[in-house]
Amino acid sequence: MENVDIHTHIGTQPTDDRAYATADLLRMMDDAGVQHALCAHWGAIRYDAREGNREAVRICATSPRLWPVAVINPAPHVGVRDTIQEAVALGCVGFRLMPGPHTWEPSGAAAARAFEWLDDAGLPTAIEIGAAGQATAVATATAGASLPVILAGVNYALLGEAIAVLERHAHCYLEASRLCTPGVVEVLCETVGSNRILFGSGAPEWHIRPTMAMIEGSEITSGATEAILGGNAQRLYRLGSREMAP
Amino acid sequence: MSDILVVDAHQHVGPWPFPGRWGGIEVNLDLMTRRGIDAAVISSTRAIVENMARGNAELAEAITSHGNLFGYVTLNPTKPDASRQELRRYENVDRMVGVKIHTHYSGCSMGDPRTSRALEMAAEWGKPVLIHTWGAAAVAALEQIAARLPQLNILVAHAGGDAWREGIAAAARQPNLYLDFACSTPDTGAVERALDQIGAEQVLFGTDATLFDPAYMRARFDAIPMGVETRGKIMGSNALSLFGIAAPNMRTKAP
Repeated sequence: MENVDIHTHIGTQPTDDRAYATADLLRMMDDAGVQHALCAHWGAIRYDAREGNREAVRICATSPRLWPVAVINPAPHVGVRDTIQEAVALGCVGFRLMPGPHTWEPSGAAAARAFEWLDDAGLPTAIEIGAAGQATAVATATAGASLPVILAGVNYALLGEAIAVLERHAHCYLEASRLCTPGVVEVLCETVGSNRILFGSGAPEWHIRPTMAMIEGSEITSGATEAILGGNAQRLYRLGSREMAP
Repeated sequence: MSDILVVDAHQHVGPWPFPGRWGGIEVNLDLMTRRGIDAAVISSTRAIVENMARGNAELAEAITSHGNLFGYVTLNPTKPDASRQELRRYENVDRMVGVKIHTHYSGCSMGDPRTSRALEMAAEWGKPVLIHTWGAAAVAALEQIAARLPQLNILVAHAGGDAWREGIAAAARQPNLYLDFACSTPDTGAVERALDQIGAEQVLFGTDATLFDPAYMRARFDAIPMGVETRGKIMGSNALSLFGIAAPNMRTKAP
């Protein structure tokens, strides 16, 4: 089974004095034993979503191990549907949304419309959770949708709510990028099941190995470990069954 | 790596209100065995978040029968008289090798005069302090205190957190500041920058267990290329020197 990191970045951001090239990300993946990574471009997060998404597609086309994820910001509302449709046409394998940095509410009207358009696109959608109540709001707002929703970046203080959300909403999954409390992987497997947890790291700005070590060092079956580290992502994102647009 | 003595300079004992598996000192010992940690310096979660005296007493009792466990006396800056009593209570307890201060849970920021007074008490006590340090303002305030109390060795918990760059710069200017990088956001390049700018002597391995599983931080440090001597200092010998702990007899298992 090949490992898949569903949370990586390419590009740079103005607040960071570190500079990582795509080759650095690939080297980090090699060192950690990660075969595939889903990549969002910082330009799409920080500057212009459409331009950044195109850049992600262009860079990911240079390596069969990198898969582009489109950043969608519902806040402007106007033009968001076009951004979603273009990302699908370009071959992006999923979406990533950030309510906190992009200042929108999951329960708001603009988000509701964006969720409808994302549902039409049918790709897995990771949504970064940075505050109490956000996971619940995301799950409630997408409850009628058919798309898988992945709660991403959930820290230990917000994890209880995320577990409760996954218990109630079958379309929701959890990105394991900050799982660090003792026994947390076992707790998640017992409560929501290993088939709903997807490994992600935040590389290259964050080390890949800590979260992997938590998963590998947990007392779960080898099948569960393989599912979390790669199998679930390959299934949800249908990696391997897609061809990149030229 | 297996021959290197590993000392975790930042542990807690006691439960946390988050999903995970919690308990008493047996959780620390189990995690240390599973993650290859030979010794630990521990503070009481209860002493930090609820009852200082009761938590310190529970910790002192819990580590008594384990030769590889050492304790921090937690001080609460909001309770200076009670904090002074705690220092007197553990003055002659060799296994209590340092002081712990948590700026967040005590409600006293680093710039609060009560925090300064607590650090002055620790300086008089004569053992190192582990202090929760998060953000650029906290790092700046701590650097000023460190300059004013050069006899006090201060372990900067989380190395400043999101202000780890400022934490490294402060440690470069203040030789009595030491950095512990325990954090749930495992930034790449941070430890490497510390090694480059201040050298290995002021960097200590800490995990924030049992809030965090030591596997998380061990994996972060294991992923950083460094020589055996440097790794030995960071992972263990710096802590032995800082806390005045003797190395023999503490190793209880092979990592």
